[in-house]
Amino acid sequence: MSIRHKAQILAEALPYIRGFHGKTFVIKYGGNAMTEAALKNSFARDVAMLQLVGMNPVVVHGGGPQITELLGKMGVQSTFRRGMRVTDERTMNVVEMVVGELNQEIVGLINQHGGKAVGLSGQDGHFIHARKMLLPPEGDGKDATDIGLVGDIERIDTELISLLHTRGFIPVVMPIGAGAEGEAFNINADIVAGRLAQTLRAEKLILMTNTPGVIDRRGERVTALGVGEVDALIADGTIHGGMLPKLAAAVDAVKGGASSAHIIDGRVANALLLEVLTSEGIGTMIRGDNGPHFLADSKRYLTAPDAA
Amino acid sequence: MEQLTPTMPASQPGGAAAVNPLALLLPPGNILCDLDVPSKGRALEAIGRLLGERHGLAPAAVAAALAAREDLGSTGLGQGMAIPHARMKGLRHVIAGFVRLLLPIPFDAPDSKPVSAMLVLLVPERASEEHLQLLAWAVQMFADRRFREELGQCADAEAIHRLFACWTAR
Repeated sequence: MSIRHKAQILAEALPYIRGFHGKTFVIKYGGNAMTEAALKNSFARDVAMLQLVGMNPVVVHGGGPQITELLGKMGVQSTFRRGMRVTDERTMNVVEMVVGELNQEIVGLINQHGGKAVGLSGQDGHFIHARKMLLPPEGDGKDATDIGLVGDIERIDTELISLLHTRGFIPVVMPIGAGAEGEAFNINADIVAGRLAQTLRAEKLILMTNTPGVIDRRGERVTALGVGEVDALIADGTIHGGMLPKLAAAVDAVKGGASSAHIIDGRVANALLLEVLTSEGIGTMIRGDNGPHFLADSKRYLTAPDAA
Repeated sequence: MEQLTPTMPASQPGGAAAVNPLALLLPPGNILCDLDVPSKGRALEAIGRLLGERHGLAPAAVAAALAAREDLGSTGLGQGMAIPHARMKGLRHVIAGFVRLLLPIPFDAPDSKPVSAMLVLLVPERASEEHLQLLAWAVQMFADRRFREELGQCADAEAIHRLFACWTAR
């Protein structure tokens, strides 16, 4: 590539950087991007770069596969109810240990690439208020199903995150919430990311997955979806399996105040830069039903009685 | 991008030997390559000058009509594409223009991304179903990823004209 061509590519990034300057991006980190060395470095570089050019990234991560692996080594079988890990006290200790270690690893990686990352748990400054999650009774039972120390988010105080952003730090959040008595709860990381995006009124919630995005019936990637279109795609089976909780987090975030949510392919190198700094984007965007809708707006305009 | 099903019988996308009706409306002289402007307002002014000069319209009136339509909601589609359009008093037939920008400009598009290419349509005041079909056709064309990529690689107005003429719905 010639130097001229390189300069042109750099110049082309300016309009994107300008458009997203000072905007908040909540990034749910997971999948292969969190386990393959080359992808881990690419992710950490991208996050550092987004912050250094003036955006405010927040990273949220879980640790599901790593938790299951360690419990397995300890001879403990992992059990799930409706996608939630049944968490007794021993399991909770393992969860805290594993996500704490992963958190420090992510912080270290981002810092190596020139960012200033700070690791946070929802207990820090008591910023994620949680309560015990109760699943509806199963079978003929009348009592709620007890899944132990799994938490629901009561509310999030954004002050700590905002404070870190004003000083150029990158918060890296592990999905642990604090109860009224200060006790720790294990929370699903997609839910934490979605709620953070809502509360911060983020420009984008970005969910990094091991899929190219939502795939339609012809096998092609859907580039954009309105929140109103999602239900029909669930009903006809286009969206199914592991994509369901991702879509639920995305729809909640957009309905709750985030500008858009993106389900992107974390197996692609520089996935974040491609999503934020190029015209194409690399996954499926979920957006609110407000805002411009080209054909509907045009029809209204063309059929109005008076022309300008 | 929105779903649509154009129904113009003579030239339906995907139909046999469909001729792109936009190509017929878009001579190379109405195509501007690598326009260097910093904003949507400046881009609409440049379009007003281009189409005004070529078709005997007041440039300011063209820019104002296009801006009035933008006020109803951005004509950005996402993925860097936009279709600014306007009804114009006294116009007898549809006029099309195309502008590729040197650098993308802010456009309030639904994906919040800046816009790098604009297809412009000026239509008679008495709008018809045909005009809506033209817009639907253009939306479908811009939804084609390969078309968008090739658009960025065209060397000049002639090449862009040929690209429009060759495009058929997949």
